[in-house]
Amino acid sequence: MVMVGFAASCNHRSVEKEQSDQEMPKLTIEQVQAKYQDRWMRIPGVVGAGIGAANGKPAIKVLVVKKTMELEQQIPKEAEGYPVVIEETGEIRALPRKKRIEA
Amino acid sequence: NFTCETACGYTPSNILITASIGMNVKKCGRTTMETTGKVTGVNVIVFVGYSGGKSALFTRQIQFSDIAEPGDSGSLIVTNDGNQPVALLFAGSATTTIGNPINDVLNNFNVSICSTP
Repeated sequence: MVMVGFAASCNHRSVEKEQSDQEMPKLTIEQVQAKYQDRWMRIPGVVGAGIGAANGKPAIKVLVVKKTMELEQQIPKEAEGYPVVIEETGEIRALPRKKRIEA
Repeated sequence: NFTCETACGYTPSNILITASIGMNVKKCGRTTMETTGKVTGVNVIVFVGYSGGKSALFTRQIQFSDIAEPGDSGSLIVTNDGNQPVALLFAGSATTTIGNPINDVLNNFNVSICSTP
């Protein structure tokens, strides 16, 4: 009875906010990647995006030819609760056989 | 007598496995023979450059630490323990290697893993 009385006297707005947070679950890391990867892939110098790990936790990775200050400014460090890390890979190419060099 | 044993002395298992971050893998390739590494990325979307200045966009690819050089394309990437197929190696850079998920490859070409000892 005492608890009911206490709840009724709580700030009505803070209770509403808690309910709306519970109605909006966090997106999965795959969903966040899918939401942002098209716009990141259009940035010059970006060659890929994927899911990896950073500091032992899942992270979204953005693969770039070369890590530049400009790219660090254009790509966020975090997206909807998930870390975003820039990984310098260089150009990614198919790996067919080279011509053999005859000794 | 026919054998599916690789030139590196192991035979792939026919039990496929889905890549997961940190998984220990190896491959046997024409250029670098046996190399080992780890899965470093999944669900990867990536532009891959081909000769003639052309580029193709791949989705749902698997990223590995650097385990290949030109000429290693076509190698089967398997788990280090158990030799379970993970991916078909086809692209990379100085720092990373990319493979198609093996299940997609087998389904697309209607083929199966050669795993007879």
